[in-house]
This record gives sequence, structure tokens and C-alpha cells, in this order.
Amino acid sequence: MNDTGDTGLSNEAALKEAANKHILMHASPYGALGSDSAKRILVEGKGCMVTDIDGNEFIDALAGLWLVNVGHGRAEIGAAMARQAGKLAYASSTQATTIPAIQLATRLSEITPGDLTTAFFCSGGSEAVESAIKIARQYHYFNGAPKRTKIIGRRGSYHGGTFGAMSVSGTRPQSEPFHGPFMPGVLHASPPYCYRCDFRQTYPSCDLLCADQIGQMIEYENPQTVAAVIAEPVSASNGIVVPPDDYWPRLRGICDQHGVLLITDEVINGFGRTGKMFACDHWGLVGDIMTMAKGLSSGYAPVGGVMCRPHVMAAFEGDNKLSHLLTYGGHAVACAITHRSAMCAGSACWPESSWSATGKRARKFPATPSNT
Amino acid sequence: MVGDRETREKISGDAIEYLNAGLLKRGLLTRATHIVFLSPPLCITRAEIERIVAILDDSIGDMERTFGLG
Repeated sequence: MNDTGDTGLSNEAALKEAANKHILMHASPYGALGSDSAKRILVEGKGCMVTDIDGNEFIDALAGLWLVNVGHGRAEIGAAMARQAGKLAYASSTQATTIPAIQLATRLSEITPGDLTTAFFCSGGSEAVESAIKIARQYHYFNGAPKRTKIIGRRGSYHGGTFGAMSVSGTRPQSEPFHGPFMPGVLHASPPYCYRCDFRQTYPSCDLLCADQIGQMIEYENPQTVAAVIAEPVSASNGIVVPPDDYWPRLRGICDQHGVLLITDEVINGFGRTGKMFACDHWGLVGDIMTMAKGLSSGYAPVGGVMCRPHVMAAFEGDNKLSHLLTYGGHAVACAITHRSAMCAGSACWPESSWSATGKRARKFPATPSNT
Repeated sequence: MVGDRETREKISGDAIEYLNAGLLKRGLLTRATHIVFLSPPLCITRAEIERIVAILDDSIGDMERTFGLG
């Protein structure tokens, strides 16, 4: 019997009927649960396995939506959540911070690439991207370049479902009929997708035209109008597109040359997903601003973050306050469990030391919760 | 996945619907377009990886035979 609380929904059939009526599933038609056999009510998970309300077991080959990196059913993370909820669940994101938030931010400053030092917390990847865009624009405003507002994304990339994140995503053909016009001042360049090169070139004789195109866009638009380039180090939605090794050094240089901030989107890539803690680590890449979510909490709490380098933070000193707030940013319970998840992801067995130079996993990460 | 390696035309439509249904029927939760996305929990065991590969092999092979692909 499932825990049905005080709703009176005492059996599977009643739960299914209620779900179908009262829940609009994401990216689905209304009533999908009743009409689409691919939709289901999940009730339990352990490691890589999940079980639905009818008792069917599945391998969760997508880790939910690219995020349950440490696996399902880790009761020790839930216990950390319960301890913090019983102590202090929430503090105003503008008036206070909490010990779990401080611990998490400090931990992130240690494990993120380069000198990414300061965290802005939010509730997920889309909010992280929205926040990164707003931080980038304000950075330029406070540095005396208020016309630097344009954002350059890449075709095929996905950065989130909220308006700004959707606008910088390179998935416009799917969303434009419903949500256009998008946020103005957004441009899209070609991705480093060699199998389907927009320029019909072959690497390396192409000499990275796709990276240079971004430089040309910046110059054409006038660098003094461009705030940032946003890109995933490895583009997930476009087909796990791993760029040539010299792509990121080239693009990093182009951004530096024009005073354009580079936002590295590690929402999907981060926390071990590509075999290193962050995909940026494959190329020694350090974005000026880095977004994260998903594996940050492994799905145990809706949480995201934006890491910023010191020169970005310097723009916000003195009277230059950040014009941006989110109610759930730095939520104490989320930070408490996320800190534990990030610690887990960053523990001695995971992931750097768990993969040898040949790509073979050298040390096994515990497949099931330690306390079960 | 492409239907023609020369033109690199992406597999789409009924074949992809059939593939998604086949993956689910065999016990694999994921999402397939012309790309089959695989990002399991990182605590995955070797046996689970082998099971995923076997399900993919069965499901993609089934799709290829049914739709005259490959």
C-alpha cells in the first residue's frame, strides 16, 4: 500500500485517476497519464532502478532528467534534509544566509574550476541561467558599459525553460510557435558539431570556423553591445557534442579579446557526468560565470547555483547591489542535502580517482545506499 | 541515428516512436529521438550497464528490422 496521506486516495486506480485530472505533466498534453503508456507514477528508487505504482521495474538510464548522479534512494541524504528542516528550513534570501549555504558555497569554491569563488544560489538550472544572464548584464552596467546587453548562444543547445534561458537556447524551432517573440538581443552561432558541420568543413582543416564565427558576430554587432557568450562545454541536447580540443581555448580567447563574459553552462555536464567533476576540467576551461544544478543535488532538492570569478564580483562592490533575487535561493534544507550530495560527488572515490587515464573505472562507487 | 549514412538523414517519426516503445517495454527509461540519450546514475554497476546495452541492442535491432533500416 502506498502512503496516500489524508487525501483518501487509498488505491492505485484512485491515484491514477487523480493524477490524470489534477496534474499537468511537463511537456505533455493534459491527461497524458491516462493516454500515454510512456507516462507513469513512480513510487520507489534504489541506485539505478526505479519502480512504478504497478510494480514494474525500470533501469533509469537518464537519471531522471540527467541529474540523479549519486543514485536513487540514498536515505542518508534524506536524513540530512530532515535534520536541517527540523532546525531551520528557510531564511530570507536577501536578509540572511545560513550555515548550510555557507558550507555549500565554500565547498563549491574548492571544487569548481579555476578561481570561481562566489556562489549565487537558486532553485534549478533555468533559474541559474536566468541569473547568469542578469549578473553578466549588470557586470557590464557597473563597469560603465550599459549597452553591453546582447547574449550569444549556440544553435542546438538547451539552457532551460524560463524565458531568458529559452531565448538563449538554440532550440527555437520547437518553442517559437508558442513562445515567440523571444527576449531581444540574443544571437545564435553554429555549434562545434563536426558530424553535422554548418560550414560543411572537416576538422582540423576547418581551423575552427565555428569558434571564429562567434568572434565575427561580436565584431559585427560591435563588442560594446555584447555582454556574454553562453555554452555548455559538452552540448547535451544537441547529441552529446564533444568539441575539438582546441575549440574551448579558441573561444575563451575570443571572449577575452572582446571583453565578453563567457558563461559555461555545467547544469547537465557537471558533477561527474563527463568523467571529471566538471566538463570544463577536460580543457582547463574557466568561465567567468558558471551555472550548475541537476547533479549538484542529484535531484534530492530543487537547487541550482551560479559561480562567479572575483573580477565579476568586483563589479558588485560598494553601492552596486545585485538587482536580482529569488525567494528560494540558498534554501537551508536544499543546501544541507546538496552539500552532502556534492561532497559525495567530490569524495575521494569520486569521480577523478574513480576513472583511470584509459577511461576504465578503477574504483567502484557504492551502488546502494550505505544505510540500507 | 541516421537512416542513410550517405545523406545522414536523421531517423524520425514512426521508427522513433517504435523504438521508444520498445525500450520501455524492455524496462529501460530514457528518451530517444534520432539520439538515444543515456546518462544513468553514476553509481551504475557493470551488470546494469550490460543490461542497458542488451536492451538497446534488442530494441534498435527490432526497429531496424521492422522499418527496413540499417
